[in-house]
Amino acid sequence: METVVQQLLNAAQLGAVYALIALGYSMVYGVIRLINFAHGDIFMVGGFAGLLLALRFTWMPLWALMPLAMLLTALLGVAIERVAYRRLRQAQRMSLVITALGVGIFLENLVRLGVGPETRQIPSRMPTTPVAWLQDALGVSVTWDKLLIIFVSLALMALLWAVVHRTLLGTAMRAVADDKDVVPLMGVNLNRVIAVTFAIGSALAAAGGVFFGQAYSLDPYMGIDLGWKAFIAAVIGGIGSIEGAVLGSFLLAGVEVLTVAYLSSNLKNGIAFGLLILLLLIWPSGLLGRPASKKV
Amino acid sequence: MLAPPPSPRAPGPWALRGLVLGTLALAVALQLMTEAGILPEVLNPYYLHLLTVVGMNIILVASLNLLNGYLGEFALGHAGFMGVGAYAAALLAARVLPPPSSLPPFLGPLLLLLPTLAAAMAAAAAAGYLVGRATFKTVGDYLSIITLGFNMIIVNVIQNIDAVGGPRGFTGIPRNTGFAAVAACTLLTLAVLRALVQSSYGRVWLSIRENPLAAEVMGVDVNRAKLQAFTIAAAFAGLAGGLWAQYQQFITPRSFDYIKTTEILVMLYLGGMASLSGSILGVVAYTLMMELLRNLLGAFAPQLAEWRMILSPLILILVMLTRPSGLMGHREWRWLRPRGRS
Amino acid sequence: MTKTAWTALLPLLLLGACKPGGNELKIGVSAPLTGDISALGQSTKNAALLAQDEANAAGGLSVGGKTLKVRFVVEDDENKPESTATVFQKLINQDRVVAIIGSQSSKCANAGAPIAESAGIPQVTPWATNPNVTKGRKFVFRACFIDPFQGKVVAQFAAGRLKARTAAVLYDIASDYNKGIAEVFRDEFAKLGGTLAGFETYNTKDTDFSAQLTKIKAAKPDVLFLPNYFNEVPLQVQQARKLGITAPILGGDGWDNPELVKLGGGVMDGASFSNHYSPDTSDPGAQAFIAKYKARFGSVPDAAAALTYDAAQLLFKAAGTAGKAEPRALRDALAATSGFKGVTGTITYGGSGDPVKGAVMIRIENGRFVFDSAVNP
Repeated sequence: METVVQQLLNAAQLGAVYALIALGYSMVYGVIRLINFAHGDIFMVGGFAGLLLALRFTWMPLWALMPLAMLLTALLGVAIERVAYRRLRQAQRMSLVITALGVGIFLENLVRLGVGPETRQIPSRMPTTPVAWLQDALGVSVTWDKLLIIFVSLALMALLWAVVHRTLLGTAMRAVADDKDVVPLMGVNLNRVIAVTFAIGSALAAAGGVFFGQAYSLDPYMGIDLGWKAFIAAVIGGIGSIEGAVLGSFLLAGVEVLTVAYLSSNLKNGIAFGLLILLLLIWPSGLLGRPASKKV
Repeated sequence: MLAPPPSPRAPGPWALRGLVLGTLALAVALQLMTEAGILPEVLNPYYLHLLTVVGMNIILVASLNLLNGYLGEFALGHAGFMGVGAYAAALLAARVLPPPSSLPPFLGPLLLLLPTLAAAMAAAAAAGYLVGRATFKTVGDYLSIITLGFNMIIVNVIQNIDAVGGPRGFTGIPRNTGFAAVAACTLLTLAVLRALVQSSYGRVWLSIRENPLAAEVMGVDVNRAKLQAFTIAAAFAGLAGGLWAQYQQFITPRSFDYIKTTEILVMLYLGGMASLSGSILGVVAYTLMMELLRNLLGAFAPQLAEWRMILSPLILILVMLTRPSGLMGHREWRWLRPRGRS
Repeated sequence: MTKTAWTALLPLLLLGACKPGGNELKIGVSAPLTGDISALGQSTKNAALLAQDEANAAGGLSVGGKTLKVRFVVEDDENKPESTATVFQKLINQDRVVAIIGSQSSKCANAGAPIAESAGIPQVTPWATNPNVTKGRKFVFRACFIDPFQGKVVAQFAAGRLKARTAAVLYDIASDYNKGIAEVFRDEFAKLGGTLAGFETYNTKDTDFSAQLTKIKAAKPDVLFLPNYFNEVPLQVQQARKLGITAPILGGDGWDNPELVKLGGGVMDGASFSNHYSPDTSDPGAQAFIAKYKARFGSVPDAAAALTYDAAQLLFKAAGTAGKAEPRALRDALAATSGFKGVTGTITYGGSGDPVKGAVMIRIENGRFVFDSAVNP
């Protein structure tokens, strides 16, 4: 029993990070229908921004460091959109996707050359002491950093939900997602809405990167694998939907962890993706996605 | 969006046949002369190796073009089919068939190539059929994910089969391929694909790409057409895999994961959608660019050699920004254009 | 337009082609300068450059009455088998090298080997420990021991010195190196009367090992064996300790890189691993190498660097014995190597490309690699 609880806790921590990345995929997809293949690498850059800040300003507490890393990464996201994507908005969708792929490879190698190829870890700014009362109650190892990661991520997601559903900006974003061509006619500045979407998505990814760099590790190529995973999580939940991205992320993390724990660690990817395909065969547009009317 | 009007001077069947046979003869001559060591400064085995890689990549990219360019889907699992073909051919060549040394030279490898490549195509086609079936209900990005998922599953399954070396890879595959064989297969692939996209099959795929609903109303069986496209594209990816295994003599499951798929995609979109000329140009441009950068940086600025990996994506982005449909999107070279079509 | 552009570019590709050097000993190096183990590629490059500059500073190598300058051509194989094949083709046919050092990982060394073999160019891989690399090949050599030996050494250490009765293993299933050692360890440990409490796997680039470790924790092993690379091991140890696994931890030569301690910090203390050499060695030649490396690159050379340096010296010596910088003569001289004293031990090729060499066990104390014991075959 303890092991099950422990495994679920492990999954929750992983799922929280997946969700922070998946949200960016989902939001960007929502507004411009782009699978932003560079997003995993933006997550990576966010992690490295956190690392560099932590090394440069050793006095800086986490609550100042993380927003700063998020801000820097948000600027990067906006810049990428401005330089590489905006011009292609009217072009074929797939040329945009390939450009995104190119941007991703560029970021990976830029960081590799700039910071070095080594695996790094952000010096922990979170208390790693065990949570005594919870540990006694559950009989498993729970540390404060684990809890912090899970709950701060959930708080960020809640904040995002509020922004999208309760503010004027969020309304504009949803409107753009609905019909990109009509919205400008209503006096909404399309470019600004898209830029803000990229900023928010990149900032969330950076938060994920900072957490990931403390709980696990950072390396210049980590965005590829984690990016794909998060993307898949977003699709399972129904891409374009915030709730879906979160649900899909925790589900994917759960399946991965439980497969390793109770079936075989050799089959982790096989089973996780087999399940994904089965899910999509039953719900062709994800768990919470809007059904696609034939082809996008 | 459709193919441009045919050129009035599209070459006749004889000119085309001459071109194919000429290329083939040149390929055989190139290989023989390079192996014999004539003019080593120009006929360098390194160039021949690059040309061979280009040939195999053209097969991969052109066959993916069938799905992503003509059918208009966004398939993300092409390397998986390639892997199935590679392992099928490797198994047959290394475990079942006699080694090439026990057969006469020239003819021996040829005799071994035919069954192994056939098996590679058949195995990959079967995988493609399965994936095609699985995508019936989905379109667009969900289809992409299913193909990507299959790619990951294929790699994972191979990693778990110890009989083929598992994650350690398959060693000891005899070398039955050379540049000439790859060139022949590349030409064959291009010929078949050209015939296909200009036949009624190709028309059906184009109609699905342009408007699936309208196509269905016109009596097109969308699922069947999709299934055909997936099976054929996978078979050719398997052919490339079979060649690859018997050229490289060593394969690992990780060589066929989504990183390879991404590479195929980049070459495809660099060249341009729905254009066989584009597929050829994309592969040649990409391979040449990577090797040029390696050689130029190596010769003039060895300390910047690691910048190769940063320059190549920049060039890709620049090409996409200035030519969003790729180098040859929806256009064909004269000799690849259909004849006498209105 | 495009056509003219391409015809203009083509000659540029030819540009790199040069004639075999008259007064040069040109050796290719295929190293993973980018990609997952690029830190190791960097130390490979460092060691090669050190060997090159040292030889040239001494005026060059005396080969058959002529003095040859040494030139290493270092290429990036990205730790990918396909790229390794291209690099080997380029080094052999474009740069006309007479020998190749590399590549480091077993999967890449294995991809390059058939090319070197059929071109008749001697290949010395410093670090590839998988048995298949040299099997049945005349031109392929290595400077290190092979996995079965290493797995045995660690199993003996676990059962003998640590008196472990149960052991758990967590290894990367997608890498032949890790899998090879893990399986030998499993068999050897059973032979020594131990039982395996867990045999868990993950995939290259995974960073979350908590599920496997939670499972291992429940099995309560006496010792945990992590035959993985230096860039992942510290995370595994950290996560294991966080989950409350207190068993001693063991590893293989893949641990040996300064990154291990830099990344892991104090958490690595107390762990032990098998290695090719120990920086604590009392051998003066090895100490001189370590001092020079440290002075120039600012870090203690890892085993890959030491082995690369040995591979270079092996080739220099072979060139001297052969009396000419010609691949076939080099190969024969290399195969006849006997009692060569290198940084990582004494190398003798007894008819195969695998040297008979000993291993050492290293303990980590206060972030330093400390010699524990030597094991000879």
